Amino acid sequence: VTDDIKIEDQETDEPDEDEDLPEPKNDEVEEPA
Amino acid sequence: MTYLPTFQDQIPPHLSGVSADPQGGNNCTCYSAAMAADYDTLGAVKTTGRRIRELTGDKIGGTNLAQVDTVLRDQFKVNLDTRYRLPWAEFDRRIRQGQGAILQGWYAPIRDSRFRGSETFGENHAIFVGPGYVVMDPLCDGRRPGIYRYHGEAYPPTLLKEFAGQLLLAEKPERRLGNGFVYASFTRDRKGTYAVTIPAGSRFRVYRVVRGKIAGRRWATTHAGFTTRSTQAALYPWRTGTRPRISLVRLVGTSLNGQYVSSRFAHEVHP
Repeated sequence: VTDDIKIEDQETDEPDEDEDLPEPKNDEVEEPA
Repeated sequence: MTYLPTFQDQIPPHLSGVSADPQGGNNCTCYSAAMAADYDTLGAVKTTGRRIRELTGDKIGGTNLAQVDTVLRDQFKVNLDTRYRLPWAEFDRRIRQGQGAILQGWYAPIRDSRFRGSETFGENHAIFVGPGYVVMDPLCDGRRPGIYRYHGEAYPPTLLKEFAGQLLLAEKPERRLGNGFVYASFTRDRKGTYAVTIPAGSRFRVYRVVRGKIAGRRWATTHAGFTTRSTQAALYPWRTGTRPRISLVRLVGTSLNGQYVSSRFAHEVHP
């Protein structure tokens, strides 16, 4: 396969765009007494 | 005939016949996940929201998409495609094409409609959205007059869009997802295959995944850009550390064959 993709030698720690998105939990449903 | 999963309601006593769940009020994401697993496998996987909750190992409060994604993949071999901040138009396209999804959102708009599953609850909630916008809201058991009872009806997409966009991401300071975006976990698309397109002139991260875990990432560039086949997206954890999981696809073809990139670049291809 020929393409023009070049990969840098060094690993990166720069976070990906998706990485710091919050992961919210659902809230509790409380039934009226 | 389109397959629909068996409806599961979360509030005990359950009308749908699942055993009483003392944590039912906390488990809407897990009940939605049970219905997603049923739909994804066309009924081969029948589990309950209560069982999924037990398998998360988390006993406090509610659950999130990443937790149920992990349980379904590790325990039931069901690979959901979990996406954060996905544009509504993409969600809409997928649902109309036949995928199902666990959709997170803020319940007040649904509570204030005729589809309410509670008169009082208006906070973060999760529902299963089936093909054609047939919604399975685990609160909708018709347990009292005024509480909607699931009967296979499609919901208005505009109502779900409002629900999704108001999802509360953080309380202090208050941060909402925003109208036009969704947090959702999709079931598989049985018809589509997947491809990645990297636009010309891009700099993008290439991930190395070893035995299902991210081992490292490097920057890559392409002047001409390219499109190549890929696998379906999945969330991958890091091999070390506590960094968040990332949604990736594995590339097939090009000099990057076997390496991974963010699923942001992936799209479905229908023959």
